[in-house]
Amino acid sequence: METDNIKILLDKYWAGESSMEEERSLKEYFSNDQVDPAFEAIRPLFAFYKQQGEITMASEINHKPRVEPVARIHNLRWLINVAATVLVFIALFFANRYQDERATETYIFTDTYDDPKVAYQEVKEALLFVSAKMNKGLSKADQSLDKMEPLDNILN
Amino acid sequence: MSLETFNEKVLPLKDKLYRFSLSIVNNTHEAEDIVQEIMIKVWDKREEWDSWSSVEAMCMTMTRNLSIDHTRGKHRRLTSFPEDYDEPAKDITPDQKASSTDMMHFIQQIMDKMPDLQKQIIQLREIEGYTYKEIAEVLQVSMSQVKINVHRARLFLKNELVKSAEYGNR
Repeated sequence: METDNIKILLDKYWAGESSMEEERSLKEYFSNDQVDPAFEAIRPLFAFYKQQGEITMASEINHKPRVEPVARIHNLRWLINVAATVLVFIALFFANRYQDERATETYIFTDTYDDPKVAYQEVKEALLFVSAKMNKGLSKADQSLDKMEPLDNILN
Repeated sequence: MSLETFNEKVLPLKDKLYRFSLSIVNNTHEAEDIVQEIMIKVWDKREEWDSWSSVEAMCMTMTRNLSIDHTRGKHRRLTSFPEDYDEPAKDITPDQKASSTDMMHFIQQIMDKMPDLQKQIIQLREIEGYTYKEIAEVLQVSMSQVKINVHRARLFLKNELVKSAEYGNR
């Protein structure tokens, strides 16, 4: 029954009179495993069409229209300029403030002592303290040099 | 706006355009280059899209024309398969013939014997499922020419296949 039907469809098909729908039925029939032996000779033709229809392009399309991305890059560049300017201003502001602070600190140091005599006394004490520490260091260095003497002898 | 149209209507055509070009130039690299070129050309013509009755038909027509230009430009092999394909073996059994890719190769060879117009019509009708009207638009021929050539091409393919099955001389 189905074979008769397919035979009619095929006759229309060869004559170029079949509709899209009828051709779809034929393709479906021939993609099936149970094809009447009478149609075996033309079966590969439909397999061929199916196979050809599955061919795809291996590579991607390189050409991507870039109208809008370009505009966006432009906007960003403009923004970078603004950001750089703002940064320079911020840097100047902080640099200025830092210098002010340093000036204030120097001013405070110059006014630590009111009486020059007291100041002189303080400086003298500080120098003596440093001197004592230095002498202590020197005596330690002498001791160390004594220890080095045997080594000196060997080398000579 | 036109970018959306391009992404939705033109880009998805790439495989169809590729198959159509491949059926004409018989070379995968060349067909790929042609499709890439068509994409640029179609984008450059975006001002004209509104005047096209069908973007797809126009893309196919442009692909066909560019592919034909390519085939005219140089000496070409007449066979459709790249160099790494073997010639079909002549001493295999009928069973092997029916199942192997040699059968596909054999059909391709029959197709290559057909006139270019018939080959293109078969490609559009049997593989891409175009209506006769669409085929007429893409190939810029009349509907009656399409119908006559569909009939001739199918009959030719059928006779070749039946003949080879009967005599076993594939």
